[in-house]
Order: sequence, then structure tokens, then C-alpha cells
Amino acid sequence: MTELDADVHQPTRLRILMLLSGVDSADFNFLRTTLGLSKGNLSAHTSRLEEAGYVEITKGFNGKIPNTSYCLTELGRSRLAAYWQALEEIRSSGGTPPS
Amino acid sequence: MKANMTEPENKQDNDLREIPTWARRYAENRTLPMLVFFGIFVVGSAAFGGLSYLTAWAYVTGHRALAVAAMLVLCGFAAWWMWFSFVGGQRIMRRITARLYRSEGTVSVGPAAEPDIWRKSPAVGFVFMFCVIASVGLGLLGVLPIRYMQPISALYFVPFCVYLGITQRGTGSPFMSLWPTLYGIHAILLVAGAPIYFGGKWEALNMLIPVIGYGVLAALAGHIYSRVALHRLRMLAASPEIPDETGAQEQ
Repeated sequence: MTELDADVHQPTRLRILMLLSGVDSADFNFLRTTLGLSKGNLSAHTSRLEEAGYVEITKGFNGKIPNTSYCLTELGRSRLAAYWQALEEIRSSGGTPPS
Repeated sequence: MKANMTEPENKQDNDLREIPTWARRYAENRTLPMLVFFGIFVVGSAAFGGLSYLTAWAYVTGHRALAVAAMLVLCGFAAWWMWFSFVGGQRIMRRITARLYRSEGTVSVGPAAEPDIWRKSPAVGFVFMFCVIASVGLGLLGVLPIRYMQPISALYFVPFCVYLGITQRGTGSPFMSLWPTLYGIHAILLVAGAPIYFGGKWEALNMLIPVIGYGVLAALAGHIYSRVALHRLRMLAASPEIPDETGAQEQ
């Protein structure tokens, strides 16, 4: 039975990864406002994605304002592609993906 | 529709798969700084014209002290304008961009520090600047008729924009290609004798409309599209507040 990557399958993290897959990098503020998340929630999810090696976090300054930007790693990109493939396999075999 | 997929599942999958496309479309079309740049260009050109007029008027009417003062201010302004155009402008524009999009955040589709034309292709930059200075100079000397300034400028402006479009492929707004396109069409129509030439005191519009007008139009189209893209992106990406199951608390 095909397994789904739990780090990717979680709805908020899946959205973060999908968003980052379309751009080179995005900062904390962009992710927070676009996904409509609270600071703490986004921070917790991005930390988990960083621990998994799917997202790279860069801390810097935008002028004098601290800025944290995120980009998808190669591992994250390949896991995201593998996730969609696994999801299709589950559905085509008549199974239901875990919620 | 894929086998064994319910309608809501199919829609949800499609929505999620559309997120990267709309994120990229939004990021590419953040052209608000271009509008600011055109605004600075118009104000700068008006200030330059005004100071030149004041200097000439003071000299002709015999106000020597005023003429010298105006000339000094004009030289200082010209020096600042050159610095802004070639050195400091990019840094200022980056700060303006960050300020304009502070509420939306920062997102990029190109390398973080895209080198400018002077570092990337100095020869192209110098050839372009030489063409600009030469055509303006010839126009002021009366060698190049004002009527043909725009069509002749199109011969180097359009290829220069195409070059920029190719080298910065995928990082800029596709709407900005409207600028050289309209510029080229305007030149062809002018040469073909279309009644789009401004005479008399409106002569300056023959260059201002193609340079500023079409540029603003292209940037405005990009900006409007970025609003649409952001709206669509937020609808697709709106995330339920599901806390991380590791137990992380909100800060």
C-alpha cells in the first residue's frame, strides 16, 4: 500500500509547499497573509518543514527590518511530486487517502 | 475526471495544483515599483526642464546672479540624476518596493540579487546609452527632425527591451512587453504617415507618450493583473487553522 508523507499531507503544510513550489522564495509575511494563518501556526508548520529538510529558512534584514524568507529545497520539491503521485496511486487503486 | 475521485476531492486537488501557477503570476506582476519609477522620471524630467528654462530666462533677461545659481542647481541636479539612473536608483527602488508591498510581504521569482544591466552586459548598456544621448543630441542640434526621433529611437529601444526580456526571462511581468510592442507600433504608424504626430507646443508628447504613456499602461496592466492573481491565490490557498500536531503553541 502506498504511504503518504505525513509532513506533506497535512493541509496547511501542503499549501505552504505548493505555494513555495511556484516561486523562488517568499517571506514570512507573504506566507502568513496569503494562507491566512496566525504567526504562531505558520511558524510551527515551517519549523517542521525545515526539520524535515523540505524548506530552507534564511534570516536577514529588509532594510532595517528583520526578515525571514523561505524557499523549497530540492528534497522538498521531489517529496511534493512524490506525494501527488502517491495520492493518485491510492485513488486509482480504489483506496481513500487518510484525512 | 479521474476514476474513484469524488467531485469535492477533484476540485480540492485542482485548487491545490493551481496554487504554484497563481503564486508565480502574482510574483511576476508586482509592477507597482515601475509606476513609481515612471513617476520619478516624469518629476525629474519636469524639474530638469523647469531649471533649464529658468537658467535660460535669467540669462536672457540679464539676471546674471540668478542665472549662475540656476546653472549650479541644474548641474547638481544633473549629477544626482546620473547617479540615480546608474548607481543609486536600484537601491532606492528596492526600498520603495519593500515599503509598497509591506502589507503583502516579499516574494520573488528570480535570483535574489539580480545583477543590473551595467554589471551583466555593460556593452549593451553603453550602446543603449550612446544611442539615447546621440539621438537626443542630434535632435537638439536640429540634425534629426523631431518627427523622426521616436521612430529612430524605436530602432534601439525595442531591441534593448527584447534583450532585457530574454535575459530576465521569467522574472518580470509579461505585461511589460506591451511597452516595446506599442512603442514599435507607434513608430511604424508615424513613419506610415498616420495622424498621430503632435505639433507646436505639444511636440514633447511625441516622445512622452511612447516612453512614459505606454510604459505606464504596461505597468498598470501588470499591477491590475497582480491584484487579480493575489485574490485568486488567496482563495485557493486559504488554509484552515490546523495547529501542528507536534503540539507547538501559538507565539
